[in-house]
Amino acid sequence: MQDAGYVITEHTRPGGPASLWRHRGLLASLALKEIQVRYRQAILGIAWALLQPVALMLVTTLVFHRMLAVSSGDVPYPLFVFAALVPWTYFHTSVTGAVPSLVTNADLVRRIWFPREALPLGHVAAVLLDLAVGLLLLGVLAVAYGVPPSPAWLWLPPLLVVLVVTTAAVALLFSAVNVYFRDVKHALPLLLQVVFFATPIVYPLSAVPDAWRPAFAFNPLTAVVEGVRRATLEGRAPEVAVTAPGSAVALLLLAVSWLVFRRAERRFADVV
Amino acid sequence: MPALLRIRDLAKTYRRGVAAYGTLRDLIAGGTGERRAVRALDGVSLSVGSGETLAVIGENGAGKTTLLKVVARITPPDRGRVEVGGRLSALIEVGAGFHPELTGRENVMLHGSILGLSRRALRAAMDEIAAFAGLTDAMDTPVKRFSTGMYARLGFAVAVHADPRVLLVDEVLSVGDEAFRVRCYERIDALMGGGTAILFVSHDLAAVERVAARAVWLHEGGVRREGKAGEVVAAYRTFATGA
Repeated sequence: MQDAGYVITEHTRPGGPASLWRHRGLLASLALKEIQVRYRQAILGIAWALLQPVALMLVTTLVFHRMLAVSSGDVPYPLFVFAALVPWTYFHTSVTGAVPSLVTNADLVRRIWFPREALPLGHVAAVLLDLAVGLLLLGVLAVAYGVPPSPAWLWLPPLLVVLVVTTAAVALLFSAVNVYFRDVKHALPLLLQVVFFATPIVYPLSAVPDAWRPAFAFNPLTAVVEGVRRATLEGRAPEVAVTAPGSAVALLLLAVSWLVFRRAERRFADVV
Repeated sequence: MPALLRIRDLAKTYRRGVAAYGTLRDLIAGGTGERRAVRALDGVSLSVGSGETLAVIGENGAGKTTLLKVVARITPPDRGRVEVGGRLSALIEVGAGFHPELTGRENVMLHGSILGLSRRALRAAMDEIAAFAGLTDAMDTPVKRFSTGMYARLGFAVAVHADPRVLLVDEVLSVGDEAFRVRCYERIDALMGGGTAILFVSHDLAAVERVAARAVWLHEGGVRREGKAGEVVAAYRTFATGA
């Protein structure tokens, strides 16, 4: 039928980015809730945000550097791997929290209208706190290892935008699909592990065979990880050939994911 | 009297099979379960004017909840149209937006944000909301320590402070003690006096007659009878008890 749907009024305007912007207070409230709930009644509090990248740094240094002799060039391996683990942990923690968010909040989705994007994106926003703490520690470690602060660190904000865009895209896409197919929840840990090894985190991009390079170039996380390393550890601007394709893919991915999300959203309340 | 809520020829059918698509295996297997269509709404039209309360009554499964969900924009209709003339707030099983670990105050911010209120407006209304719910001394307690009644009172207090032009009420006045219920009715009267249109769904026929001047009786997804609340309630009572 042609006229099925709503008249656009103050309340019933279309969803999507514009609607989310009008409800930015909701995004703030949901992010704040995640932070409050996560660290309340946890003795270590915000230290948990650091525990994962630090523990991974120690393990990967032992396994990949000491045992398997992976080289990180002039940069000390622990620092080399930590610079990549901070953005990776942000991606991993956000996506893991965001993907089931529509299903765990089924009560809300079934009963109240609000921009549904706010649920997965609330996680993506909340974990920014962990990211900030991780970056602070990266700075401290860099200085401790004798890497001087450099103006190239100003490249961090645009690189972090690429990281957040990528994370938001994956969070939107997979959280929406998870409403229809719970398989996503089971597949996610495996998928994240594959992406972890497909991204130059524990090894340098230079270790990747030339023939495989094009495939790596389209991974937005490669762009972020390589860019962060060059900026913070080598004091140089990101390589355009490495960072540009990944950043373009990140933006495209966000557009596609948001379209899929809005299409899937109409039936959330009936299906969830 | 301008209508703030106009509903025209609303229809919605649920396909049972769709809900069975829990996992990929179900989809590949072709949605094994039977796919019986359930017609929840079958051409419902009604309108609620400014300052008016329209009650919706009917048996379980008559389509009342689906009607509220379509109006609240939670689920799309197959056919028909809903026109809403301003901010809409829904009182549907209040407290669904609460998190047990957070305090009353934190939950007011969270739940109010979900209902579309700005954080600034919520901070400004915090004391008033707490007083309305009768929970001024409990606002810094995690709501997991609240009783069911306290929970519901706080949820109601937040929702009515959204200052809606259109308010949807679904069976919420059955919770809370008599004193709170009286305050709720006062608040509903005040909202009506201020021009809010209210769609009131309830099984409590006494409450319907108390709050609403007009009523609609839904039966099997259609409007069976519409008119003065007293007459519609009487007809429905006769049907429900004898028939």
